[in-house]
Amino acid sequence: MNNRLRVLRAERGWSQAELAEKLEVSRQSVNAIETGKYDPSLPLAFKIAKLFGNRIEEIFEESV
Amino acid sequence: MFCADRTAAFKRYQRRVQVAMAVYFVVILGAAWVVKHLAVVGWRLYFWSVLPAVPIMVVIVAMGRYLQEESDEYQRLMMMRSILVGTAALLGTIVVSDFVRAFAEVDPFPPFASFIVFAVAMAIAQAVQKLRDRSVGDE
Repeated sequence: MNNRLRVLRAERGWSQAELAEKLEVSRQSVNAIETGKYDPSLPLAFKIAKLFGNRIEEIFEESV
Repeated sequence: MFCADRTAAFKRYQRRVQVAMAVYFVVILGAAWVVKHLAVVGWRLYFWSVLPAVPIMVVIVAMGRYLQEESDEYQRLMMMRSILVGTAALLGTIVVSDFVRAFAEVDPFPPFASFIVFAVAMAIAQAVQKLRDRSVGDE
């Protein structure tokens, strides 16, 4: 799955550690999601979407 | 897991494992001394034989508690992968040992080899995952 997490984070000027703190996960988790090594669960995806004020499908999209 | 990224659940897990291993070294030395010097027999011999396994069981339980307590789903996944790799190495070792014993009629692998194989394989799996995570996209 592709995602725009890195772009959205950069727009807000947050570091991975800062985003991790806001999401209450580890920095490794943020890094793994950004680099596409890990697809978050639905609850975490909702949390990410809520934090950035977007819908899930605006952040995550299916790989083609 | 590198120090800065340790979650609260992982710190608790590490503390439990460290305590259990400290107890293990005291118990294993004590049990070895008792069995060698006091010539215990019967149920006492069984007691001293089983006693060193208790802290090892505590380590296994600590792994289960960590998986229960870890709220970070990615960290939990990495621990589960590590345990899976350790378990695969453990089962592989046991199977090879059994076949070698059955067909070649040689002694099985030495005592404690299986748990060491499990622990080493798990540690390698954890290290590989950490290195892989650090290699891409670190900020």
